[in-house]
Amino acid sequence: MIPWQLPLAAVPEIKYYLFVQGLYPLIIIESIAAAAICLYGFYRSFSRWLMGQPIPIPDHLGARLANVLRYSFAQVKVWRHRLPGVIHSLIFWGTTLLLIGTILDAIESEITLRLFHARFLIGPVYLWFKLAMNIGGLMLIAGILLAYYRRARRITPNLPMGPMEHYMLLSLLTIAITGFFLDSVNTYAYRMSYMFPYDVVGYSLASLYRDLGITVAQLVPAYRAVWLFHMTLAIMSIGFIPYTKFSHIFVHGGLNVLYYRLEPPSAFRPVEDLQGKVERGEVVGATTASELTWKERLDLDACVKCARCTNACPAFASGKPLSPMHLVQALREAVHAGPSSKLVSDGPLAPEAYWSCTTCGACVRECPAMIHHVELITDVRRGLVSTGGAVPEGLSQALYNVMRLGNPFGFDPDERTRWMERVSTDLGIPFAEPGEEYDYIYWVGCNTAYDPNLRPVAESLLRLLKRAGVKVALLREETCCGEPARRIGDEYLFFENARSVGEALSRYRFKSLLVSCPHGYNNFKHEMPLYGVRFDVVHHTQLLSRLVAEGRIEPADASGIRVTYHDPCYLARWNGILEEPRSLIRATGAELSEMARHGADSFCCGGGGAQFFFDIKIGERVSKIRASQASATGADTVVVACPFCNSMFRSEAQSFGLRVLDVAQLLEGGRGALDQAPRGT
Amino acid sequence: MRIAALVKVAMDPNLMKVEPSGEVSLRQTAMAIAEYDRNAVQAALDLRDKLGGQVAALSASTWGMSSERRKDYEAALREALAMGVDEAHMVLDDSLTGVPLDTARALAALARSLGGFDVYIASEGSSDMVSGQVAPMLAAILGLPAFTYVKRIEPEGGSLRLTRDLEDALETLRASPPLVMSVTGESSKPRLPTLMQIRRAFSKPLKFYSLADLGVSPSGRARRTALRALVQKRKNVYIDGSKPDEAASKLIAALAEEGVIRA
Repeated sequence: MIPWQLPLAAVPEIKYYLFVQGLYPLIIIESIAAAAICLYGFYRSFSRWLMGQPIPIPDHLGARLANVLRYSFAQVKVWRHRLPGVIHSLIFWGTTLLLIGTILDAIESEITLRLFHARFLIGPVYLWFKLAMNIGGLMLIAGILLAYYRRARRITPNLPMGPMEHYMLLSLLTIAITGFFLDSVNTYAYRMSYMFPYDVVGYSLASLYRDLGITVAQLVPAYRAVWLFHMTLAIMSIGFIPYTKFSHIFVHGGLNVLYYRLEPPSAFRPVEDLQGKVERGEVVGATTASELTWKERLDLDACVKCARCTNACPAFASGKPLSPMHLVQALREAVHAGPSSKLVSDGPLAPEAYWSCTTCGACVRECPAMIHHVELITDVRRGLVSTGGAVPEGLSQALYNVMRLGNPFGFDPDERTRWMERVSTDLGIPFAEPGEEYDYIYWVGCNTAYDPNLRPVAESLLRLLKRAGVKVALLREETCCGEPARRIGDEYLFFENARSVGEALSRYRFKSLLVSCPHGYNNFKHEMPLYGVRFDVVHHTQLLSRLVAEGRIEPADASGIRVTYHDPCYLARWNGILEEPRSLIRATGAELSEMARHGADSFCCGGGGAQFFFDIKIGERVSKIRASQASATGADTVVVACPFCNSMFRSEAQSFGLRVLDVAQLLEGGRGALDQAPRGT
Repeated sequence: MRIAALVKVAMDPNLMKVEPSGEVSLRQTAMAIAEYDRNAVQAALDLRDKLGGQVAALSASTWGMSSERRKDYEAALREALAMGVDEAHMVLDDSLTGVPLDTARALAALARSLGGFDVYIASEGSSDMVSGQVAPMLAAILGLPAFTYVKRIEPEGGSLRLTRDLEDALETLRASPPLVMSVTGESSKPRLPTLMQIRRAFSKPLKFYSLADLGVSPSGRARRTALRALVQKRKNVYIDGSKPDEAASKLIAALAEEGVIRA
């Protein structure tokens, strides 16, 4: 008989319970128990996250739901890695298909059939339904087998494989296999005439029973046992969700994505009521579990130990005592231990772990669970600074220098002024005067203003701007922009500094602030506005690429020269500025060889996150690893766009025979600039 | 235990400004707690943490300018308060000009007016004048024993076990307060205060006194007549380093010529 011609009467009234009479009430009891266990688990999770505070109502629901579509359903971050993306999608969509099917089935047998004596899974719909369920089951099984293959072959380094991971995979696998068995017996008993090829697995198994001469009656005892097992396992797996890694479906896929920040991730969260906390002598940042924000505690529970953060982390790669995944896991244990548990202790929570972070954000970019590791680390650093905890001496000194001298290095501020005066005279660049209007005020930044190796970058840039007829001025009051203080965790110093920087700049009229340091760029663009200090800011690679496009700057010729470009974390990853520096390099005719990790996936030079101001003498230098990656491209010139990166590469240049040049220098000098920068300087 | 930490608000030698005449510009040079005096403060705080009690920072001006640079004096003392000192007292008087005896007399009068202390901790010398005399003179005026170059302080019952650093030997002494000591730069690792600690220390007492308030006057036995910066002339000889072998022999030859080494 052709399936869609099946009369309604041809399908038995009651479909499934023929073999399992008497077991049904057991399932009801199990379901109620599982629901209670599940609700209690989530109640406990919520109390742990909120610690007595009310749950915030999410704003901008549209944008947040769009995030849920993007990250929870389309799983774009999971898909950043092909194999895990395939595995996760097979398991997720396989399970989802089965879950939807089971729900439809339950609705039919428990509601429409009982109440209205009506069915909707009939005729062709039923056949397609069966096919979909078969596909779901096969996807799930394939996903699990691939997952085991991936883990057995250790395709992803540092991926944990403990009882929890086995439980997750084996419970799903068992549910899928037992489900196919149950289905096959039903097909064998009632549906053999019309199920091929829709119930492909069930029909094949049923044919096997037929060929082996097994009768339905012989199968019934096994069916009853497997049914009870299948149902119990499925129901209890749902009940135990809050206690297992399956919780990520709701904690990460649901809540953590729903509450994911709508601000850019590099607008690192400010301290609420900072001044009040300072006045009252309270901890700024976090030293205990209760001093984290509720969202940070939620973040910790969202982690699924996928190891992507750790595998992307330059500190980890260089043998520093920091592994973002282990840090998050250890913090999570601390939060689970109670509100007063300390966030700094030993092992993964040793002070050195927190101080090893370069704040490069590779972990944040990788994390499919939307955890913001850098903010967690920054909050603990803030806690250490505000309570006089274990802050490395070099960093205390840098903070003191910023406070007293307006630069983190401890240089006499007169040195900056004297150099600026010389530049002003030599290049004819004025100091900003109130009342005068400028296109740009150039905020040189401490690194460039004090380091004789970097000053030529600023001078190149200013000469280019002068030639292009841009009205640019220097700022007599220039001081530290405060970025190092924020990275180290002295939020109050950052706040006071931002206020005085804001005051100084507000005396002048200019369209944009020009910076040549990505750290200053991020600071002016995303961080100072958190405390109400707002100026339009442009990075020199942005301005220069615009001027080249407009034909106002004639790029110098560097054709025939092979260079590689190092993306600064604070320009590329945190701010998405990838194309401008590359367009400038191309404009000179130089041939660009990319490193394996480039663009937003760049590998830190080792200078960020205040690493520049002290040394953790553990493991290798991050800068050495990056320099070897640059060297591996075969290019002998590294083009940079950040003074921190510039200095870090310079410190490694000798041993790799590299030349280091800023984009501005290449643009101005072309091949000549390379000649003036001998290798290893 | 009542502990006094002697804190000098010194000219910062790293930020020294010089007039065209060669005279050190006291008006423009930044002031700060003398470098090793942070060790004195830290030693006092450590002792307080072990024995309980209070730490007062005692200071006397040596550079005058009591009105125009009062803010700088205040800021430096606030740093001591931010480090954990309980209260700060300073003799701020233009007739104090850094003559060690006058400084010691002013500090002695200040200490007496505050009721005296069990332990006075100074540093081995200030970073701007480095006379190293004030602590022993203070001890002499107060009639107390003085222990200089102390590297380690360990409470032992009612007395203190002091280890003195004599460069090629360590001397260990047992002394009972009241006493005066000076500590070395290696005696502790003082923590630099943060802006927040400074802000929070604003409620702690900080008092200024004139010599008249304390009923003392300068001895008149010595006065400073000039303070000139030493200019080190450098020859700025560059040796091309592109060929290391050649550069090395040229460098050796140049150094030998200068008489720095014997070739």
